Amino acid sequence: MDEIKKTTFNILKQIAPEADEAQIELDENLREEVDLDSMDYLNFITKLGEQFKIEIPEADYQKIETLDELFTYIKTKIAV
Amino acid sequence: MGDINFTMPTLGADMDFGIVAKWYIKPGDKVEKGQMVAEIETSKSDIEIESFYTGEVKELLVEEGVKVAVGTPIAVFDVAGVEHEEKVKVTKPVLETTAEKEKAVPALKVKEPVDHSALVITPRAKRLMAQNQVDIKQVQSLKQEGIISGEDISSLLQGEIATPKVTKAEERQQVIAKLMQKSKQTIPHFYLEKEMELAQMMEWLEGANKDRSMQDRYLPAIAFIKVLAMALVKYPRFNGIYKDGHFIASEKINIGLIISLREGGLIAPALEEVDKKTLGQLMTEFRDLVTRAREGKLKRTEMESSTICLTNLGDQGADKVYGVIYPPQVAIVGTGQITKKVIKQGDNFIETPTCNWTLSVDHRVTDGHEGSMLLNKIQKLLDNPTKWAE
Repeated sequence: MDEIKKTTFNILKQIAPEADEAQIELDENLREEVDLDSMDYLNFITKLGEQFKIEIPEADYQKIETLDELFTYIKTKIAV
Repeated sequence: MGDINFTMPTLGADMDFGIVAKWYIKPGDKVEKGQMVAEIETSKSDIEIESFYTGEVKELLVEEGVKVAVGTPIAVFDVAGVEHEEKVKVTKPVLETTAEKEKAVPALKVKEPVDHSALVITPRAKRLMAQNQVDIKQVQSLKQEGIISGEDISSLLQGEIATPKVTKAEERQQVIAKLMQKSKQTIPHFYLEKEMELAQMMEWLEGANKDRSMQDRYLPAIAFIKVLAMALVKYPRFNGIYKDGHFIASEKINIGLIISLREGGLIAPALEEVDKKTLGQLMTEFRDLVTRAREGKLKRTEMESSTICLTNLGDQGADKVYGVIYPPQVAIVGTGQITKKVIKQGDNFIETPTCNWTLSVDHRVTDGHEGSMLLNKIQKLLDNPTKWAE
């Protein structure tokens, strides 16, 4: 799980360099926490997909609104 | 052949000055029309500028790092078929350089670290900081607030210091205030709004995205951009500029996209000839434009060519936005967030996605009747994706 978190934060930093890891609330809406617009979010999801070699369907976006949800989602997807 | 002055261009209605960050040319070089000749640092971004002429570089009038007002000659080109112009050598920069200001300051006074959110660091300065491992605390020793330019970082690296003249808050406010004031004082705005139903569009996007790779998925924003362009084909009086008491329609539909920069501020580069491009092409260009806007790597043509603007505040959660027209354009379209609304369909109540579209228009050019027609056309297009999506 730590590796998932580390990689996710690295990708997030590429999209939003000013994001402060310590300031992001894990149970709050990520797009609002880090101010990601739809293009930022698409780039974020795409990079996550490439890095973890998983497919994230558009229909799943609502399941991964917070970082906590996202970490769990990635963990489950990788395990499949 | 004749000499012609190459002047500091205006890269947007809100630009008063620019710093020649880098010359790509030197005296004696041949230049082609369209060739990139310099990189200009502005308070918002670094922008590459191209030559308007084909000819030979005779002289560079402004050294790298010098800040000059828009319209100041910065180079002399020898161009065929041009009458000789009197060149104006900038022996002293019109606005002093940071380096010059620094020389007057005798000693470095290191201040206590402050919240660096009060500092605006230009993209060039950020690159220099990264390349030279300059820490934000070192930058804070230069200024507590205001704009940190590439020149400031260069000076820091050379052991010099800068003193702020205009604070960040003042400079930002001045740039925005000036443009908004000009717009509101000179353009008689009127506003229209319509709640658009998006069921057909969203269904089409969902279907199209299922077969596309993650990276190539269409965003609703790109569909909005395309739909607006297609509606403007039918209603061209919203697409163009107002100049010398007349509206001049634009042959091209170049939509200026209001992009927020991560360090604060807005920029409005254009996606060009949107009506003629596929959604796929537009997605690629949109991604590229946003990336380069945030990296401070936009081209002059992109900053100058927009014929109407679109501001999409839906991502930030606003329900609607009444935009201020970007002079000399005559209209700006705003889109809010996509929300779900319950409507009655036959005997049933169903949930459907909707989005508020607003239209701010210059009343010297057109009226509410035509504005309503434009909004109706947009709704019809949103209802028929096959008319504009490939």
